[in-house]
Amino acid sequence: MEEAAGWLAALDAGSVTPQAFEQWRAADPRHAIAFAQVAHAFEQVERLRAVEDRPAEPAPTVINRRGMLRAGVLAGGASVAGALLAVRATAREHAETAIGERRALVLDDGTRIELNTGTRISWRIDKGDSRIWLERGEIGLTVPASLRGKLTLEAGSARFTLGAGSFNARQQPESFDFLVLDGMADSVRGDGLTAGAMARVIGQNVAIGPADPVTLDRARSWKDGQLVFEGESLDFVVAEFNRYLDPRIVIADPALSRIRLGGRFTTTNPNDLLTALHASFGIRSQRSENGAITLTAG
Amino acid sequence: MTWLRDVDRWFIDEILPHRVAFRRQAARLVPTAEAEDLVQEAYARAINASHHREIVNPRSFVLTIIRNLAHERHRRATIVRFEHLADMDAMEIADSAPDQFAVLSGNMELARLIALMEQLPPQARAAVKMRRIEGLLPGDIAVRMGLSVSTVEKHLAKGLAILAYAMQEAPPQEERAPFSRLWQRHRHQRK
Repeated sequence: MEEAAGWLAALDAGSVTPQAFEQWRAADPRHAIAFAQVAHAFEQVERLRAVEDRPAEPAPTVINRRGMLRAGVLAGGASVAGALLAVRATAREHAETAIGERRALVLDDGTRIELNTGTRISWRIDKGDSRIWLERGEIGLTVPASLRGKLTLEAGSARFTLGAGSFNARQQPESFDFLVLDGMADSVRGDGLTAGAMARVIGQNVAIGPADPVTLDRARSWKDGQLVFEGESLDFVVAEFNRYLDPRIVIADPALSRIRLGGRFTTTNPNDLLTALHASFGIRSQRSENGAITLTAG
Repeated sequence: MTWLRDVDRWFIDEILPHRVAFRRQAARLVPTAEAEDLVQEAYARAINASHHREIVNPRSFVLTIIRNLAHERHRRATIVRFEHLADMDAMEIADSAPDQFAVLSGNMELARLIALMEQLPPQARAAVKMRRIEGLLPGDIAVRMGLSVSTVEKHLAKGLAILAYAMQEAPPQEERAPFSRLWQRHRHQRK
């Protein structure tokens, strides 16, 4: 800007040749822009001749329409079928959620279980001891300190004994992941797990270690309908969304998979995701004949 | 001014009045620190447009360039934070009512211009005032101020640079920071 102003003042005083100026201006579009901005200021000052002795007009205020719009909009999302169902223990009970549904229930022993999308569990309470099976999907468990008997959680070949605390269990395509958010648990081999620990079970193999902060955050956030990402690929983000969707989102253009996203998405409503992807990346979404939503580069 | 080309005239009259809208658009799409840079990049495309007089709506033209450049940047970025995924409401506003925006920024400028003039260093202010408001020639100003013409030139340049720079900044009445209804704001974290 200083450079452009120097050229203008020099031109004005006639101390440089127009040829030298043209050469400078043509060298870089940024020169031309800065010069136009300075020329604009040069012209604008002249307007003050007319208003030298008059007070300045007050600036009009603008109604913030965006704020008004926002007030009227409520983000949609998977509805929480939040009614707590007290369930009587008989032989073996079960509960499940459909795609996009969440629900919570409380067992007779006081254990609270939240079922995420597409989940099925069963349980049996016998002489004060409880056994819970995660057949598919993801659950959060809150075990009260008042629990008397023994509580075990099973999924395939995996088995954990839970003390008081809160836990998250998820069936992944390749593994079963068990997280201790709070309190303590023991694996079938007798390994103790404390808060922040994660056990990943693949077949007979159990790997125990500290969980990533984002994994813990994710396990806490889905109960509020929030999805958390920390620089994962669009592939991963879409896969997480697809757990809540039927029909699903398909990435039609492999180049898009390289986009990486981070942050917190406060709803599982796909329309909001699609709108944001379009606004920010020019990604187009289209509904195909089988109902799936395909994403292509704009 | 004879040293302005047709494209410069067009740029000053059709593009610069909308700079507040451009900056706002850019700030929605990229982190604040990068917004001005994005606008400058869009300006560079606009001022190189060979067919500028055929552009029906210069404001939308530049808004579109900004959006496309932001898309390119997002695609290149290692990680894009959700808070920079813009929501459509915001984009809609940026595209609507161009006339109202143009008038608005024009009016504010006059009031601000007076305030800005007051803030210039005394010598620079005197030079700008004599040259542009009183309409004196540089040689006469030099005599009046008891300085050489080249020193007057420097004061004039300094004053104009400060004014031009300040005029590119957003007006004082600031809008509430855009807060997406879709994404909760997290702290900025970019590589």
